[in-house]
Amino acid sequence: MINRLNLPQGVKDFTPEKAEEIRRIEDILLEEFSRWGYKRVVTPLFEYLESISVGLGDELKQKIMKFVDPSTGDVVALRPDITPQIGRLVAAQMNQHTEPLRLCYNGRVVRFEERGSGKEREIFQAGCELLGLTSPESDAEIIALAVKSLLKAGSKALVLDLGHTGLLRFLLSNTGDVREEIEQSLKKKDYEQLEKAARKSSAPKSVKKVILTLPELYGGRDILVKAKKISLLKVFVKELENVLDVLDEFRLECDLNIDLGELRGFNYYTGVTFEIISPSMSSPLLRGGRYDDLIGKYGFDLPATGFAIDVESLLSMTKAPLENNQVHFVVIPKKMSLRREAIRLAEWLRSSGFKVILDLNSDMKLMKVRIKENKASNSYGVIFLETPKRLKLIESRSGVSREFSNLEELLKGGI
Amino acid sequence: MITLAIARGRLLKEAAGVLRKTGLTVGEIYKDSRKLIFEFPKIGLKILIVRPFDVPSYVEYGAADCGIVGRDTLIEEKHELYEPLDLGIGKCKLIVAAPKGFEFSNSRLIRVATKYPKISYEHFVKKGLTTEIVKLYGSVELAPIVGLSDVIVDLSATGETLRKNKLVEIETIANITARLVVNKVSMKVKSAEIKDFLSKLKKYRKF
Repeated sequence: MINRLNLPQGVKDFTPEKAEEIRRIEDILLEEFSRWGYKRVVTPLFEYLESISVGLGDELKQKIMKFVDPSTGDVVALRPDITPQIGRLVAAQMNQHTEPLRLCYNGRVVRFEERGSGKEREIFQAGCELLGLTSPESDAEIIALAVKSLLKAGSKALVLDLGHTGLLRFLLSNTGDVREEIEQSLKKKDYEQLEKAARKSSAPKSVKKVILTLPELYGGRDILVKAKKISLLKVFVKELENVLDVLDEFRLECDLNIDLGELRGFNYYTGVTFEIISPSMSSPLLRGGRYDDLIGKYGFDLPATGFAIDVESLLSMTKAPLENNQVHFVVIPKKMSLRREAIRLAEWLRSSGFKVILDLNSDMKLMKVRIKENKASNSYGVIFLETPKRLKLIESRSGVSREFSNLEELLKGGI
Repeated sequence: MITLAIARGRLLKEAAGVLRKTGLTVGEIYKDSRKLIFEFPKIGLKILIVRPFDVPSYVEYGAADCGIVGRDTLIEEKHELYEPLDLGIGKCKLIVAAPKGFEFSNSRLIRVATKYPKISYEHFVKKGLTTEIVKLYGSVELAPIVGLSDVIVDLSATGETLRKNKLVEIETIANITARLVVNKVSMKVKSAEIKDFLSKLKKYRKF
């Protein structure tokens, strides 16, 4: 039998402290996005399976939580990713735009995970998409924004891991029926299997040779010098260099790693891809890259690049004071007849920016309890309304009690 | 400092052997079966001894940077890991075995006892056989003897256990050796250390 207090695997509740933390981080991220001119869009929690799966990579396709819409019999899917939704939205409603679009979002996505995997099935995301541009400047902009947002949210010791899916797609496009095997071995960085697979492949010798050097094309920026000497890769390396040249101008505080053999999101991304990792976290904080084919699948050809941040991964990295969530005053009328004054007093305080609990149940026996509670929470104090002209403030920190004849006096002298 | 998770049991001794050859003297970590963590600060290595099926989880979640684990475990459960190196140790086969005289038939349901339900299911589906899979955690050879199953899917190194229990190998599903697995973030943030560790292992692994 299901215990009423239990939740399905992979989802959870957030108590006020946690919920406030999530909001704080989301606020910081959205604020930064908007300062770069990215406008927020909101997309639905679920939509037709058919439309959303068009815009998903193979890995996410296997993780869709789907169900039948009882009213129509259509199969709908809880969104496992928001980017395809934005693609659909742009193709459907914003296709008259001629200028580049800068869009951002935050929200939860749902992904099926194996029982016992310990992975969340509901993930808080915040992300940006830059649509309509193909220039290295646009790749650099989205990467710089990604790094800056994470820094603003308080994360440190970031490593930017840069790759190029276009390069991999090009190399693998003529490997014939062993392509799948080559993909798998690159994904696992299993270079012995890669050699075996490449040997079997019908691809031209020159291509095979380059595929086999991919494992070595990994490390710092000097890797690009090495890669540029390989003529088949020249165009792609130049692209990466152009992006890096622009990125240099942003002077970002993060380390750089280049991995030309990294196969993540292979059938989704089309160009420069990136991940931002931190030594203290076992999975990336952020993933992104260029996906020029996606929006075309919704009938509107538009190049794009973007990223999504795993918001919860930032929670464990950054600690901030919890002051935001703190109540400043508790207002208690001494008698039933003072309710109206108490409500007015609370409203005044709220409009002056304070957080106020109004405790209209003026049971004086509870007075001591309230004072004690408030002391523990370290807020400003408890205000007793004794008569319309007499306010008693019991300060939480000192326990000192002071009397005032009206609110202005209290606000001036009290705090 | 690299944290390395190694599967306990048969593999552990062989793994210690390979490490010793690379110059990473780890002593007799396989002797004391109750100790779970061994630290070697001088050579920058910390070793965790865990159950074989737990190695991928330790590495995937970053509790360990690297792990040494049989390929059987990696095929049975999907994990987000790099698997850069075949260490050539812990050689064995994943096999289907049954009591003498057993023959597959399409006309009836075959019961399979195994520690590898996914691999078994996929294997028999490919052969067009309908099976019922019973997941066991150990002493799988017992199942056909007492009538719990018709066949078993299990690892076999020498065939000795099979013989003792009067079972015969029917077919090989896969050849198994141990692999080095690496956490995806560690590979990037400790790249120099891990590259070095990998190249040492590559030189001295068993083939």
